[in-house]
Amino acid sequence: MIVVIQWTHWLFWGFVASVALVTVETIGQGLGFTRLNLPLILGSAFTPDRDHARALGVILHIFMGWAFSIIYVIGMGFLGGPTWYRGAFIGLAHALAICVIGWQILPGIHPRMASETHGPAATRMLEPPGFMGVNYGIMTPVAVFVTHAIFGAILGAFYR
Amino acid sequence: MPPLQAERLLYRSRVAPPIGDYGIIGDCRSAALISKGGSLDWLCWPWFDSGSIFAAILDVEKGGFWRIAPAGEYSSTRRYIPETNVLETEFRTAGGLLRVTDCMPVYHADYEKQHLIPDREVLRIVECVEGEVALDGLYFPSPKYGRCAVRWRKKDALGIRVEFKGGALWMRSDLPWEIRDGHAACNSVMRAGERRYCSLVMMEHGPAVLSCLGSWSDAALQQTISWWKKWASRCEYQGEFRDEVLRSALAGKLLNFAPSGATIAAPTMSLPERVGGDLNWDYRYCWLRDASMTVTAMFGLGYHDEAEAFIEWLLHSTNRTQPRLLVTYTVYGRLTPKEWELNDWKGYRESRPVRVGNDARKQLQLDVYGEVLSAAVQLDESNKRVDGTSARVLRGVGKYVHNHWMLPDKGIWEPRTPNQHHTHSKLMCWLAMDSLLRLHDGGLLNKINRDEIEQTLHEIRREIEQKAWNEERQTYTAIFEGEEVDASLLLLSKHGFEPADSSRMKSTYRRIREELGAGPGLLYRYRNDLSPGESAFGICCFWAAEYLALGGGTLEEAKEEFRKVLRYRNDLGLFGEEIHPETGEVIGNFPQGFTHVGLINAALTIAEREAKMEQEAKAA
Repeated sequence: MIVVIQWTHWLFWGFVASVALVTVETIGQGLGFTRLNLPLILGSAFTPDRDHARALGVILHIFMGWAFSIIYVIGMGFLGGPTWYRGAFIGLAHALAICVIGWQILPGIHPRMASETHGPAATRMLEPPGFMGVNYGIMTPVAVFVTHAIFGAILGAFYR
Repeated sequence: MPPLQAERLLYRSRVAPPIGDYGIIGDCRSAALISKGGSLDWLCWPWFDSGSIFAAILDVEKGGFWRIAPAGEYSSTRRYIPETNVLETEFRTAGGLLRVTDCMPVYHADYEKQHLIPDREVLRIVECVEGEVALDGLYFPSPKYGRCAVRWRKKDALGIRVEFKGGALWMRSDLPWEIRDGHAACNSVMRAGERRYCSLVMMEHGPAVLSCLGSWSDAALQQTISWWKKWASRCEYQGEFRDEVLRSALAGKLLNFAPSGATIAAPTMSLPERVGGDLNWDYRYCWLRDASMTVTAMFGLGYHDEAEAFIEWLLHSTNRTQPRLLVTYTVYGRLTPKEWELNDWKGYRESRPVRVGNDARKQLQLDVYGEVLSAAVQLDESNKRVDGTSARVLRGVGKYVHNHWMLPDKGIWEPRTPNQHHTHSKLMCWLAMDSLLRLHDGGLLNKINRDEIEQTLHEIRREIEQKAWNEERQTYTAIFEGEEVDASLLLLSKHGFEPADSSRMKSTYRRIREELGAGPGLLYRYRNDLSPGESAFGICCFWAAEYLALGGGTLEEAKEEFRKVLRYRNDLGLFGEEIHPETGEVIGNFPQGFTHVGLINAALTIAEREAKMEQEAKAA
């Protein structure tokens, strides 16, 4: 099976979905559902300066979402074409992978994140997410699932 | 959150210590009170006016506290590391000497850029200096006034996490803390030379940054000491009372909210104006009334950045309600929350109700306008310019006073009684008009109708001179056509309305001393049906010394008066809102910025008089 990608559509809707993902995550964090702050986590991998880390993290997060959206587009192609529910389904699968695998390996690859086994060190002080990200609040997995489902749904609904 | 079990209160009294037994640490965003007994009994995070994490000062069983002190009998002494807000408490026991150093770390900007550091941290370093000391620690946080469920987790390498709706606290330590039923306890024996660390961090919106303890915490402490010493070195006051003035400046800086430039009245709420009474208010907000005096103090000490930031905040953060100004705002210029009560809390020594929020915000208090305009005049004195937006704000505020000065209001003391024509409010309206003219004449403010303002200025003066002066009693009175005096009349000279050595002011001062005197150096703010059991008011005592320095008395009389008031500070040099006239104890919210501002301004005026006299002597 060959999946044909509409590059301009992907570029546009991939970007829109990524911005929506970051926005919804920030709202969830602002409303106190979770302390997960992906821009800070991503940005602090490159700089210890919090303000710079947050700004850099937002840009990185949008670019990563944008890049990831190509996988969603291909995935929806394999599942029979883009629809909002197929997009949301892939989003849920993506979220599951983040919660189960991503959070577990993050302390190992993030240069400033502490590990639950060794504790903080002079260069590793950021609180690790823990299993399913619950260190950042019990609602964190829910927030990850919801935001990625929205990301996928936007892409599925509008990408043609 | 369940109340703390009684057996855990073994080493601390169920009654809160005297208010003066507390010392303050802070990071210019939040502040904590720590008792002589090593108990951190007050902390609101992440901001001054957020929900409390520790509030045992208001209710030992429900409020939460974090105690680190020897088990059993001890005596304690404490001090601030000179020119810093780092608190050092030493506990002498039969077996040895234990030192606890407490601070909320602050860092130099370059260090902050190079290191990932916690947003909020309380750092407690425990050191056994001599012999052997058995330690008893108890960690009992009670977030959001104890009104939310918490989940305790011990993550061995990371420390103890207390999670609650809207945030998480991480406590890390190299002491053996164990989670028990709703609290964590630590029982350990320390020997001479041992040094241990406890770090508490909180994160509201993001992953926490955890402390590494050891050398990392030592570096944080050194940064904090260095930051405060550098700040203190900017103090230009070199007079006779430098230590007292510097301590007041340092305490005042702790009440300054760095992100916005606002200054709060006090970091606490509901510490009573009468112990056992109901005059318990939340002071964790910004009173515009304190504006011009605070700005005068900051400029006078050489803290120009802080003064300008505060004026900026005054002019722009209050824009939601301009041209009307409210009595109080939050540190971000929002309306202060409506008053509500923690009904099940005991209050400080049974002083109930425990109030959160402040309804004074709704009162009409005309004096705040004069405060704001007079603060802005000081920009002129420090050769600053007023931008277009600020000029619009100043004109709007001036116009409001021009149209409303004749209304009765609540006045400076905020009684919850009907509005009256308060002399102090009229004085401040006069000052508002005078400030507008000075801003205009100094070239900082154009587009005002000078003649109209000048006419209002004279009209207010006439009203005060006629209606606030009681010929029979030979005194200015607190309200128009009244009989009684209040201490705010001393400000008639400070604000340039009436020379301090005029016969009217001298006889008013005598009357104030006779009727409001509360003991050596002490003054009540007023005496009437509303004030039975009230203590002497801190800032009023300093106003008296300042009045004498302004010319109401000799320089020596002013200094003597000033020294008398200084005797009532606590062992760390801190003042509360009031002073008990019999015991000299600190009463009310603590430490109180207004009182410390009064101390600084009185010292500055004394120094000014001294310098003037020296100049005159040289010239002669």
